[in-house]
Amino acid sequence: MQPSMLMLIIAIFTSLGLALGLMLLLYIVHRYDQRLRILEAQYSRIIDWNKRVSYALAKALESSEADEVLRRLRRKARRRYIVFVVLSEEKYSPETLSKAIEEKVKELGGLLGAAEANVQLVYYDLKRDVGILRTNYHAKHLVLAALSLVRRIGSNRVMVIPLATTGTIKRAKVIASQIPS
Amino acid sequence: MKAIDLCVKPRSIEDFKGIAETAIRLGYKALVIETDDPSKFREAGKEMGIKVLARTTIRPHSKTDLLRALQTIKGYDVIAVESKSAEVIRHAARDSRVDVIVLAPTMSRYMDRSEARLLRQGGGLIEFWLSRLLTTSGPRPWRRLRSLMIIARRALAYQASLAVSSCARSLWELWHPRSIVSLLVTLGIPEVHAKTIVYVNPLKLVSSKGISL
Repeated sequence: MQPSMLMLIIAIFTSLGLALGLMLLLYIVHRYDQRLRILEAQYSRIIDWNKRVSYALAKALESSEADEVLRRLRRKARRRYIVFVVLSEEKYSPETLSKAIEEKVKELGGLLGAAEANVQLVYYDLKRDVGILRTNYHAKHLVLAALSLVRRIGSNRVMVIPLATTGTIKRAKVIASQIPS
Repeated sequence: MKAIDLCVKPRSIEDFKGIAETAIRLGYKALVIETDDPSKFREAGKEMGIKVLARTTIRPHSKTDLLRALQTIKGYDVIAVESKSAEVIRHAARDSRVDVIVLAPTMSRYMDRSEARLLRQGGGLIEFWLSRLLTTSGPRPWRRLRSLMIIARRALAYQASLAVSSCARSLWELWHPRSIVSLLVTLGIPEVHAKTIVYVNPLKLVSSKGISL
């Protein structure tokens, strides 16, 4: 065999080998790409599923919170009775005093706070200046703070001293009756 | 619980008698009075059945003023510092001779983490005067309330000791301890911490002076 023939055969085999290698490489890349796409699809499916699960959990939590709110709404409104004594330079009618307290509650808590508090003067002893206020359980602190801000009625100085807070008017009246004049 | 009003400023002995009588009715066990001559108030308090302590509030303009004043002051149970200078307040907070730092409503933003740390080092209290809520002069009422809110919330957040006192000049300016607790709760302070501010912190200060009630 002539050397040129041998070289030609070697060249053909080499190029065939290279072509095959290239095809193999392209095949591997193609398979890798396919696999990557499958993995991406699976990953996005998992993310999507996770989103759905967390949304469902949030909704379940919301509904349980809503249930709790509903349960609270169905319950009878809890009240608090605040027994107080008034120190003043002058005697006031229950209406005047009640108006002054309501004004301060509105000033401190705003209209919504006043609506929530629903302050009512349920008892007032003019002789001893002892009174009982009824308010919502959740607005107890607002009313107590507002009472301490009542410092003047007209031009006279006043001080409203909270003595006790009770859950029933019966107990509040017992406490009020024990206060000396 | 034993309540102490850390600042009362009666103008006369008659005013003091009215304040002491009402304070006993409100449940206070001791009053800290700001006066130049505490002896007559102490005697009157003893007769009426309420412990009387003396305090002085110094108002220095500079660090040297503060140091000079602290060297000369003697015979007071509680020493308070009030200043509009942040530098002076910072020095006072570090000084163990200063028991109380009075923060004006305009200084509410001063109460930060580093100030709280300095206060813990010096062992002092931050004080807010409730008489400032009742005055009609100065900033608008909601601004004064907001400054109390900021001071109280920040003191709580940065674990600084806070006390709220009436600084009453007459009996009409006194506050019931429970009303102060409620006011703090209304301003967003948890009830347990509000009670600490009103009952525990002043008692701790008085106990640290070796005074028992």
